[in-house]
Amino acid sequence: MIDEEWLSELRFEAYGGSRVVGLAGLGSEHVVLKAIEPDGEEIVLKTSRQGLGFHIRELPLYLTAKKEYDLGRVNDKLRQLVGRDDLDEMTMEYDRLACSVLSNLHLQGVTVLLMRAAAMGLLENEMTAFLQSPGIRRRLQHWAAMRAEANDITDLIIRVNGAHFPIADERIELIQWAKASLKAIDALPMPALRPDLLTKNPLYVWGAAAMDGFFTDDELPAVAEYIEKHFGRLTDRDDCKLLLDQVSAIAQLLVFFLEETEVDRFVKLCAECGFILALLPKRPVNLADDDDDPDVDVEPRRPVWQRLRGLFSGR
Amino acid sequence: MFTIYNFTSMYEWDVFISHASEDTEDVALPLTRELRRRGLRVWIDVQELQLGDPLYERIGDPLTHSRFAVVIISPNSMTKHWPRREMNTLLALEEDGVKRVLPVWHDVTHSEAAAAFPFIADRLAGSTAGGLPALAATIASIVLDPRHQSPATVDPPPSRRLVSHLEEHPDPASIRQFLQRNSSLIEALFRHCDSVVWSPVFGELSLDLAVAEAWRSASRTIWSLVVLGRADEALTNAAGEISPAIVALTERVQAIRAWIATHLEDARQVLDEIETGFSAAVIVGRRPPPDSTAADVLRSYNDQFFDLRVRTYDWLIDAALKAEDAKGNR
Repeated sequence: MIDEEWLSELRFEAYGGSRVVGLAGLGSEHVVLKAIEPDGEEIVLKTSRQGLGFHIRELPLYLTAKKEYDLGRVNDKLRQLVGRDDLDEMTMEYDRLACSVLSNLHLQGVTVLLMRAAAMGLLENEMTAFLQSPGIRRRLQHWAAMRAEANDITDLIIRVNGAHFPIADERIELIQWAKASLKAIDALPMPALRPDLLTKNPLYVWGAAAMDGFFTDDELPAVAEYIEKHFGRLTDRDDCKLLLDQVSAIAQLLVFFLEETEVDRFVKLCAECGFILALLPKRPVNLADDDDDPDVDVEPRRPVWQRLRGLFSGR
Repeated sequence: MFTIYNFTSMYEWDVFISHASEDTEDVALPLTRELRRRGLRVWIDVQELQLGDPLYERIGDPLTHSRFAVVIISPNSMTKHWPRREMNTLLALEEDGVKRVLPVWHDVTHSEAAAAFPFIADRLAGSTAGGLPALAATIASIVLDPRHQSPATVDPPPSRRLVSHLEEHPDPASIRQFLQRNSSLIEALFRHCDSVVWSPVFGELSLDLAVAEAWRSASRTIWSLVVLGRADEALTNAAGEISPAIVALTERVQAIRAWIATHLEDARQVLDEIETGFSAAVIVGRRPPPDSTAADVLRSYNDQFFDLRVRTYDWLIDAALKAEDAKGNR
């Protein structure tokens, strides 16, 4: 949920020098804020609505000219997010990862996707775990439970999975595909990575914040200290190996499925908490068949501010 | 769209606030908030007028179209040129025998004020010394006297009717029925309101209303669920903690969320294409002063949630007033 009232009342100096003076619009993909340039020109700033800051009502560093959030408050809010199964929808990087994987799943199906992952020798366990993660399941469940009948002719073809990895299909086809995918995923063995416990891993939560524009490098020790205070020293916990394997898997999937990612911030946070992640270097990966739509794996650049002129509707 | 209502009163505004710019933050704006929470239409200019400004072009219209003018007489206003002109204008408008000026003393003695504004030395609507809520109550009692023919009494807009209803019938069932009869209030509250479902039931759980916004480009319908509490509910208990009644309301929302997550297809029979990530609002009580303990407690309580907000009925009143202002072509 994004609090529109909070957005409407936002007043801050944005990264780049313009002054944000309110909300222009909130859409299915974007948040658009009204702003005034230093020379007085009225513009709008458009960015992804999946940014974690919009959901926890805090301004991340990529939006603002100077730090606006309070570290203690952000940490307290993140603690509330531990165990929440919908974090993937609140976070730019996790949302993009889920959309990318689902786009490939739609193209190839569970079996082919896993076979290709296995052929790469790296992603089988990670891939299985991610397909069984609460976020992927929930998204598929939403599509599987859609109304089969269209309201009108414009409702026959539906377009889901966000702007960057759109899946467009006939309503009934999409429902059947989602149901079949869920069934196939349910039939997979539970991997050692325990995807059902992923959202309880503190590094999964704080890692999302680190990638979505929170924490300067100087703040990372304080963040690690906060995590240790509330969740114990992660490297000393009985489930230490599971925690490490889970964050390694997420980081590796981010590298493989997104052309441009903030995973370095994730890695840095994990290192601060004692987990050194050994990731394979970023390289182009094409999980789709060569004959298939080549657009599927062309990852968009990470969404940042777009400055648009002529759309300011007045104060 | 918000319903257009027709004023049969000759005035558009209940109150015009006349003040010096130095008194804006400490007096004029807080007093405006207090009057608006009583459902009064208040006109206030928060920008300072400069000497030479075309006074009537800028504020003449609201001034003449306001039933009453609350004039804040303070050390700041007494030294300014334009409050005096404004006062003279108001007094001139009283020539028809209708009293319109309500002087309010702020940090001045009666003799000081009388020396500066001798024409109104015998009048006193109130003083800020007793606190702004008490002052606002005094002003509201004058404005809402039916004999004075204010817009709020002659043809009350939805915001004012809502305030009256909240004061007379604070129970949630009655408020829901009022909102059903005045659906423009819901349209004012939600930017995009494609449909409203009243009193939906999920298993054994119910809520008061649900508002849908269709995102056609994304083939999604985004629902906002609303649970109503009592309008006279205190936000905190004697120990300064969030009220148990509010906790119970938020727990009901969370229970509904859990039910929907596990009965998605059944839930969609009630609310078309609802998703588990819906937003929710609990509306309860009245807004405390911004710097009060109750406001801090409510803020902290809200920080625990990401898909649920506890709001007061003033949220609804503010939205209605804003829509009415927009329709008034200010």
